[in-house]
Formats: sequence, structure tokens, C-alpha cells
Amino acid sequence: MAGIPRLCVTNRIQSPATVLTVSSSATGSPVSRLKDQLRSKTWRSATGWTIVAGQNDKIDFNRGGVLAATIVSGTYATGALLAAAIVAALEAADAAPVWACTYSGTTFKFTVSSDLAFTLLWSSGANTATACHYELGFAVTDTGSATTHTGATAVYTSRHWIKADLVTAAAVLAGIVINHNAGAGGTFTLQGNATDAWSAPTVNQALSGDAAIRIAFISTQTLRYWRLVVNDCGNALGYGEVGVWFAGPYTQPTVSYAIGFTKQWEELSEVTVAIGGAHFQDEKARRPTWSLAWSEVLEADRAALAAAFALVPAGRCFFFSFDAVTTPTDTEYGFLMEGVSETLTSGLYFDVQVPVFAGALG
Amino acid sequence: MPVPASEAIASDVGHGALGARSGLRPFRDLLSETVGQRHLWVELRPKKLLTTWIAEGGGVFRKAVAEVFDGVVLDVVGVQTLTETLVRVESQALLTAGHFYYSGATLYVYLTGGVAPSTTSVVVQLGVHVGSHGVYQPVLGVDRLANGPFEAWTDPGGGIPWTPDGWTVSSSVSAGTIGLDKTTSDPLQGNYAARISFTAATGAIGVRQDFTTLVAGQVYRFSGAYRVTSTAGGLMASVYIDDAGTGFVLPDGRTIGTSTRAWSDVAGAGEWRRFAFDFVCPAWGTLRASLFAETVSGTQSGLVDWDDVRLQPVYRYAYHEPLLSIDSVPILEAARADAFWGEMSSALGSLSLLNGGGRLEPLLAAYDWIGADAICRVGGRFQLGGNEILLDDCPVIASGRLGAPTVTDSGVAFDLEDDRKLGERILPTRTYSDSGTPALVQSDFGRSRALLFGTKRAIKPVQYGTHTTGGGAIPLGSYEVVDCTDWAAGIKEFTSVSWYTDEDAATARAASRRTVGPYGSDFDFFVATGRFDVLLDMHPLVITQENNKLHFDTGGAVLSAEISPQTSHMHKVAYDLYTAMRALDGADVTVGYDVSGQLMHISKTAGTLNLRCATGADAQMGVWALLGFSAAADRTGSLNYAADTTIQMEAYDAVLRIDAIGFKDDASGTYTGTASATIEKAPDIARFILRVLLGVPASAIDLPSFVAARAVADRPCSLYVGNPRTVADIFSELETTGNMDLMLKGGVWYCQARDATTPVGTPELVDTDFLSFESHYDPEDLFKTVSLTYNESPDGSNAYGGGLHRRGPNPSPSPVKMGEVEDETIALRYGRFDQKTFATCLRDAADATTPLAGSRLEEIATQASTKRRRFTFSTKGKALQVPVGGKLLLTRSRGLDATGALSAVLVRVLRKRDDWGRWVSDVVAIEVV
Repeated sequence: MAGIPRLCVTNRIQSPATVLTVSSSATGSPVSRLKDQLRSKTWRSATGWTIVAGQNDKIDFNRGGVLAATIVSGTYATGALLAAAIVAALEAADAAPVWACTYSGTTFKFTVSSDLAFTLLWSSGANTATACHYELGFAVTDTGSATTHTGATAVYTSRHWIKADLVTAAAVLAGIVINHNAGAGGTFTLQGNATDAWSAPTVNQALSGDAAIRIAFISTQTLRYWRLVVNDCGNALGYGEVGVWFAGPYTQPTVSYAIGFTKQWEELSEVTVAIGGAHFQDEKARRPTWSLAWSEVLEADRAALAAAFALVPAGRCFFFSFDAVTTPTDTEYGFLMEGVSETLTSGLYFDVQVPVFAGALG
Repeated sequence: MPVPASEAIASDVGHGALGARSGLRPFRDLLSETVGQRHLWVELRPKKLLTTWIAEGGGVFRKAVAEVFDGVVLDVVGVQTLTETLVRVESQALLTAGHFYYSGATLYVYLTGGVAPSTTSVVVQLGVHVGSHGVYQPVLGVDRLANGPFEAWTDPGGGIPWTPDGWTVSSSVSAGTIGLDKTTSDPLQGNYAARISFTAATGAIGVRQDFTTLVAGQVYRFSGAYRVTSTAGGLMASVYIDDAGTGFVLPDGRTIGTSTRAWSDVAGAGEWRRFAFDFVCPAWGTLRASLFAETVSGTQSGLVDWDDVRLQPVYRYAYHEPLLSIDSVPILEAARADAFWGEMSSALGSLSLLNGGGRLEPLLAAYDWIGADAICRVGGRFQLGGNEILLDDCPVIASGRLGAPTVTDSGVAFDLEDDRKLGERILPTRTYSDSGTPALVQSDFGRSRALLFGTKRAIKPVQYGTHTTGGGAIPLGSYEVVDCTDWAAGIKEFTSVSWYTDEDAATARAASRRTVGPYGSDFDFFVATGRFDVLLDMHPLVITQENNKLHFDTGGAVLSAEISPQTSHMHKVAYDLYTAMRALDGADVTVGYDVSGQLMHISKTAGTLNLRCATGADAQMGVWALLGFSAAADRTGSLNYAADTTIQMEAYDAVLRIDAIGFKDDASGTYTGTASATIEKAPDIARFILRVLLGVPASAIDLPSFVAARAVADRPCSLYVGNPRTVADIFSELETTGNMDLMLKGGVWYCQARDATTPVGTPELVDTDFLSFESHYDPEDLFKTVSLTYNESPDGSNAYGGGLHRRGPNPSPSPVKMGEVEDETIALRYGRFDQKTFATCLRDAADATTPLAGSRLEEIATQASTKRRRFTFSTKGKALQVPVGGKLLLTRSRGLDATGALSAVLVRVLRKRDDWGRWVSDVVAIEVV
């Protein structure tokens, strides 16, 4: 593991000035949790489907005429409740009582039906950008004409939006999410725009990764509004969750850290020994720690590293990407346990020592 | 970026996600594991005084409450007033007297009696949650199931298996036999589990409870434990949540389907496993929660057991911030003063929180923390990513109150005290004072307002007021015998009132110097308040041969009326004189006492009546002075003579002693099992004190253990608490009386009869469990002489006469109510010449001392003359949940024994120090013989 390292030390999401808003939050886990660096202190959406006006509240359809139904905004804890709201929306836009909607407890799919054949205009409808096709498990394509349409995928929740108003435009080059609860099919998209309008944001970058981290590095954009779109409607847990959302710049020295760096595991478990020699273990986490060094770097790199580390005194968490280009998921969330040192080696060259970079637990 | 497995507690069912988890190993197993994670969860409940309420109608009042910390509106987890602790419900519609509902923005309260909260003080308790790990945990409400632990069973008779109270049984058997009964075979908790047995059977049997008041949209947790013993895949434990019709809550906890189990498990290892099912309550008229045992296929034999089942609302999933370090976990210490029933003492360490960044200062400054409740639960996780202990299985290890916080830049430390500190409280809690109930006699000021359990004689009442009977001019006394302020059912009975001539006579209980009532309508007794009014002055007049004659004439010869020597009140004396005079002459003569004038009158309706006060023969033996007539001159020329001086009615100085029977049970038989019965058995008295006098909530008292102890400790008590005593002292006396242990375990009080049996589930410690070990004998456990006191007089003297038993020489009568046993061999064998007195509140000599055989004295003396081994050791895990008074089994390859080894030696814990941070117990225990 040696490549192009990047230090993400300035999280604009956690800036005191940043204003966070969200499509929904569960009681006891507000979006303000994302201001905290503790990874377990998460934001959670409300359980079920949250319908937001202008975001995911429309159904374009053609049942003898093109119409648009608008689902009443709110959080629907169960599929049955959302199904009832969908029927109400369709009947409000069209005839009643000719519509039906069910949510299967077996397939966890929505089925919309009517007395006449109809088409769901998920792709060609006038309100595609604000349609609820994901929420109902449909692909973004128009359905054929039939009296019954069943979603393609099992769904358990809606999409979620977390919006950060940085108050003033600021540069963002990286988006990272950890301690999330998305499955492999769930996506996180980093969006950025100069205004609080999201039909065609300037930045619309999917984060890639796995169950532990989603990450993307982007070309620099200086924008005021940033948004994280969580599209994980197939998450059987029924809610979205994010522990830390990073959006900000990174520092990339021109050279990599030196080879031969060390990684150690700090054993926090305790062992007690009985009279007869039997031992007991109080199992606790193993904390990974790294000892890194940059050897013989030029003044510009020294200054860049010094400036970056100055922003994260001991105990302040930041992301360190060991190989940002090749394997960006080799990015760790941790903190400095000891201060960084610099040594003038010869001429214009410096050694920069990072004695202990410790993984953030809990 | 892998997350260390040992750190991760999944965002999962039990931590916010709805649905079912099953196959979970229980906490009890974790205690015995040599490897595992240890978790601690603490709910702190700072308080805030609320004022200004808005009437909602129907006794309900509301107030907007939205206390925010760290971006979260804090949950209102409790509401207390000066007189009650309200119980939480899930909706405004469920509010009845004594309950509260918090919507997240508005608090609704319904105080008992519809009292307006503005007329009392109301504090809310806010939920602040911290832990050893950063995890979302549910805030669980009151269990809605009846008999979820399966401890109460009814015998239908006729040899039919018992049925669990509160549950409805249904079955569908197509082959073989399927039966439901209770079992004592290693229940997960308590004494029983429900057992469903299959014998070459096909079919299913279940138990269920229906609910009509659960709240639609509210999340509930249905949790418990099950044990399947069968060939793999043969039998199934399953749970259904349905509408008693065709609607079923599906395994995801929020979708409704048909004929679907919430979860099922066919694992047949014969070990306890737990389940938890978090679900959104549908909008059903009836919600049915069922536990089933089913054959999976074909004909099967085996067992399915259920235990510790609960249905609780989940008010929210609260993030427990990881602010606890190992060193911040409180150390729990408790000890009994001796090997018998000496007073319990306790100490609790401090609880400290990390305070990085100074986040806690605003929280500490905003609310009242001193005296705030703190509930500490412990859990953990099995090794190698095994299941963690869900909160419904995390036992409370300490439930106490916080002391003053000490705040530093890095941490906050609280002193912590738990309910054992109740032992330091003083009873009675009230005194006669200017505030509240005053005393009219100066010497009674500051005297305790007494408490009474069982039958007690010669109680000195306290006069707290006066009243005028029927509007008369002369006031008489109003008295209190028992303070019934806290108990509306009052006392059982006022048996009698003795009115003495003076205090000396009262102390001596001199029958010759008192009058005894009630006698007609001379008193008005109020058993509900423990008080009475004197309606007729009955203070005693002593009639002897020296003052029992009255000379008079009706126009003829002088007659001498004479009454018997006696001690009677003035009305009786007047009546006797009237009878004696009429017997001599003058059918129309009357003798009476004029209450308003406080004068004795002697009159006749017609003819002549002369009173020969001065000239009658034997005038020196006349009754005149007693009646208030002057003996200086005869009284003639009238038909109606009033005495010259008054006989003062005793409005203030009456010397009274009361025989009474103390607190009686309510109409539900809450404390005795029988409506309106006298509360006089030691376990019942202890529970009454905890609940009524000390305010311990019902949820903190293990009712089954107290009920079971009542059957053993069934001797009637006579306990009068008229002087300040510590609760620990009273409890010690009750424990001595009932041969029982009052134990606080996990914030819950238990009452356990002390015997030599090995309770189900008694932990056994073996060689590998001991971190240290020593054994010894303690001479303090042996006594040559054992004395026992009982039925102490309320003024410290002897009410009934004492019993006395001595095996040694020189028996002599005792002036106190005490029995005594000497065993000279103790002195001979061990050089112990010591004597120890055991105080009991037994009522009867027959139970206490006489005859010795079978008496409490004999039982105690036997223990005090038995050499018993003591063991001092440290151990991991297993002993942590055993309280002082609880039992352990010790097995060790070396130990103080004739064999040189210990083999399942049963011991009772005398002293403990529990370090839950490290899961280490330091124990001092004594052998059970």
C-alpha cells in the first residue's frame, strides 16, 4: 500500500457556519449529529417512506389522458400507509374509486392498479425529476399499458437528502461517507450547486465504495450548496443512516509517504488470570495505528503537510487516503495521537514524521 | 476500511430497525463466558420543575416541553409530584389518573384525583443516555403483559395441568399428546417457566394475550426467552402478532399480511435463547400476541419452554453516547453486619462521564442533577462477533440517585447512591409540630407520628386537637394513635381505651386506677385516620370504702346510699349513686353530671330532698368531695342541688392508653392477599414500608418473592414504630422475625426465606473461576447465650409478661419480654462466653419463645451454636448478579473441608463488592447449614 496520499482535514459539513437540513430524521438522531466527529453518532432518517414536495411526490400517468398525481408530503412508516396515500393522490388527480395500490408483505413490492389500462410515465412524464419511481421500486422507464403495474424491486424506504448550506461558496474536492447502513445496491450521490435548486446541479458525483466507506474525489468546485442523496430504497432496515459525511478539499503532497511505514494494532482488551492459570478476556476493540513518514520532501510539500496537520491537532478526526487514485477505499478515519515532527535533512529537503495516526473507533 | 468486529454493534433490529431477532444467547450465559465484551448503559434522569399548566379538561393538564441538548429534544421519561410518581402511557387517549403522556413536544399529566398541577410541585425527569459504546438503544416503557414471567399459575383441579394466569391457551392437536404446564427445570428467571411438551404428537399449542389499548403507529417490543428441546428441526418456537382475525404483522415489523409468523426458530439445542420483535402497532381494534410451539413436520416429541416474556412500548431509540470509561463504572458494595440478620450497609462508587470539549456543562447547568435518578444496566456481546445482549435482557445493576456533580474540563463525576441507602432513612417520617399536625401537650411536640403493624397494647396517643361534643361548651380531646397520612385504608381496629388516673398508673398498667372503654358512645373512632375523639369524659374517679357514702332524706329519716368501691368515670359513679338512692327511697331521684356546667346534680321531681352533706352519719366517708359538694353544711330546701365546685373535664391532661390493631390492607388485598386484612406478617410489613412509606415503585419490588415468603414467615407481628428508627434497623428486626432476607438486586427488592435449600439457578463456582480464595471460621458467628425479644411495649415496658428459657443453671424471671437460651458447650468448645440479643417483633410468646420447641428462639440458638465455614474470594462474572443474602455453590479442589476439597458447598453471601467495569466480584460468604 503506497500510492498517492490525500489528507482530508477540512470537513465543511462540520463547520459551525454550515446549515444542515434533511428530508427526515428519526427522533433522537437529528441531522446535527453529522456535526460531530464521532462515527457512531449518526443521523438516521425516519423509518419508512418520506415524501417531500418537489422531490419525490409526483406520479405521471396516462389513463385516457396524461395526468400527474401528487402524494401528500409526510413520512409513511409502512408500505400500507404509503399505498393508501398513493391511491388518494391518484384519485385526487383522476377518477375515483378506480385506483388501487398494495404493498406486498411477501415481495415487498408496490402494485398500482386501475379499472382501465394505464401507463406510468416515469421516464417521459413532465415531473420525472420529482417522481417517486425509486420509492415505489420502478425503473426510470415508462411502463407499458396495463391495468396493473408492479414495481421491479423490493422497497422498504424512500430516498433521503441531506443538504449543507455552506453560507458562502467553498471549494470541495472530495465526498466521503462512513458508518452508513446502505447495502451494495444503495447509492450515495454528492451534489453541488451554486443555488438551492437541484434539478441540474453542477456537481452530481456518485460515491463508490463498500459497506464501510463511500468516497469520491472530484475536480475542484467552489459552490455554496452541497447535497448528499441517499438512494437505498431496497434497504430492508427501512431507514438511511450516515455517521460522518465529509465534503471538503484535500491536501495532496507531490510525493508519497515513505515505504516501510508501520501499522500496529493497539489491543484494548484486558486479560485477567485466575489462581489456577485460567484466563479471562474482557474483549474490546483493536485500534489500528499507523506510523508514517515523508522523507526528503521539498519545502512546498513540507509546508502543505504542516498546514494540513495544523488543522487537526491530536484527537481531531480526519480522513487519510493512502492511495487516493488507485484504491480510494484505502482511506482511514482517524486522529493524531502525537504531534507531527519535521526534520531538515540536507539542503532543501525535510523529513516529516507522523508518529501515530490512530483509527477512530466508537 | 474495515470496522473492527469487536467494536461494531450493527445498525440493526433492536437498535432502531423494526423486525425480529431470535436465537440470541441470553445475558445469563454471558456471565459464565470467559471471553466477551462488557457493555454498560446508563440512563440519567435530571429534573426540571414545571409551572404554568393549561387545563385540557377531564383532569388532564398540558404544557409544552421541548428541552433540547445536542440537537435532540430530550425525552420526558418520568413525572413526579410531591405525592406521586406518574406512569407513562403511549397516547393522550390512554391517560387516566396517575399517568402522563409525552408527545415529544407537549406533556400531558393527569394527577390522582384530577388535582391541578398548579396546586402542587411537578418535576419532569429528562432522559440523558450514555454508555460504554456509541449505540442506539430503545427507551422501553412499562410491560403490558400480565404474568409475562410465567410465575403465576392456577391449578384447575382434577389433575389437569396448571394454566398460566393471564394467558389464554389454544391448541390444535391432530396426533399424540401436547400439553402445557409450568416447569421448575432451570427457568431463565424466577421459579417457573411455561413448558409445552410434545409426546409423539403433531400439532401446535399456544398461549396468547389480547390488547385493545395499544396505540396504532407506536413501536412496541415483544421480547422474551424460549428453549426448544427436540431433534433438530422437529419442533418450532414461534411468535404471532395478529388482529385475532386474518391480519398478521409480518417479520419486518411493519407490514401486514396473512397467517404469517413474526418469527420462528427450530433450533433444538435445549438451551435458552432470546427473541425480540420490534413492530409498529397496526390500527387494529384488538392486537393479539401469541407464543406458539409447533411441530415442523410429522410426529414429534420434545419440549418448548417460554420465560421472561414482555410487551413494552418503545418510546424512542436513544443514542447512548460513549462517555463512560471502565474507570467510570460505579463499584457496588453491600454487606450485612453479621452472619445473622445484622443491619445491611451499602456503598456505591461514583459515576463519571467524559466531558471532552466541555459539552456537558450546559446540560449540568440547565437542570437539577442532585438526587436525579440514574439507572445502570449491563450487557455485552459474545466473542467472535456473537450476538450482543439487547437492552430488554440487560439487567439493572444499580438504580440510584446522583449526588452533586463535580465538573472538570475533562470529566464529570457524580456520587451515586442506590436504594440500599433507604436503610439510612428514618421512620416515622413525620413528627408533631407546628407545621402539619401539632401536639396540644407541650411534651408531645417533636414526638414521632407513630406507625403500627399488628396488635399492640397500651399505646400512648397524642392529643392533636379538641372538639366540643354536640356543640357543648366544654372541649374534649382529639387524639392520634397511628399516622395514616400515607395509607387511606387506615388501621384495622381500635380495641379499647384505658383512662388512667395518672402517668404512674399508666406506666404500671394499674387496672385499679383506670377506666376502660369504649363504653357506650364515649369515643368516636376513625380507623381510616388512626384517630379518635373523646365524646364523654371518662377520667377515673377512685371510690373506696372511705368515700362511697351519700346521706340524704326525702322528708323522713336520713338514709345512707352506698356504692361499691371502684374506679369509674363520673357517669358510672352518678349512675351507681342514682341506683343506690332509688333503692332506698325516692323513685324520682336522679343523679347526673351536667356536661356544660361540669357540675354534678342531684335532684328529685317532687316532694322533699335534703342532702346531709355535713350531718349525715359517717360524713367523713361521704362521697361529697368527689362529687364537688361541700361537706360544710347540709343542702336543704330545694329539689335540685348543683355541686359547689366543678368536676373539670379533662380536655388536655387525660392519661390515655390505647389497644389497637394497626394498618389494614386495602380492598384489593394488595399487601396480604386478603381484602382489609391486618398487615402483620413480616414480608407484608416490609413491602408496605417500601411501597407506602418509602415510595419505592411497584416495578422495583419482586412481588412473587414477597408472596412466597409470606407463606413461610407467617407468624403474626406486633410492630410499633413510635420513636425514630432507621429503616435498616426495622428491616433487620423484620428479617430476624421472619427468618428471611430482604435483598436488593438490580434495583429490585426481593424477599427470600432463609433456608438450606438450593434455589433453582444458583451459580456454581469452580476452580477456574476463582481469582483469589481463602476460607476460615469466625468466632463472631458463635454465641454461648442467645436472647430474643418480642412484642416490645410501645413505652418499653412489658405488656404481656415475658417468656424465659434457659438451658443453663439459675433460671430467673425476666422483667422484659424476652426469651433466652444458653449453651455452655459453646464456651467449653470455643472459649466463647458471649451473649447476643436478637430483636424481633413477634407478637406471641408461643411463636417467639414459649414453648422453646419450634420457637424462633430455638431456631436462632441452633444457628448461633453451629460452627460454620466462611469463604472469602474474588471471581469473574458468575457471582455478579447474586446479591447479599443470595446463595452460591462452591466447588474447589482445595478448601476447608474434611476431604480437603469443596464439593458444591452451599454458601450465603454476607458481603460483596462488585466491579462491573471488570466483571469482578469480591465476596465474603458463609456456609449454609
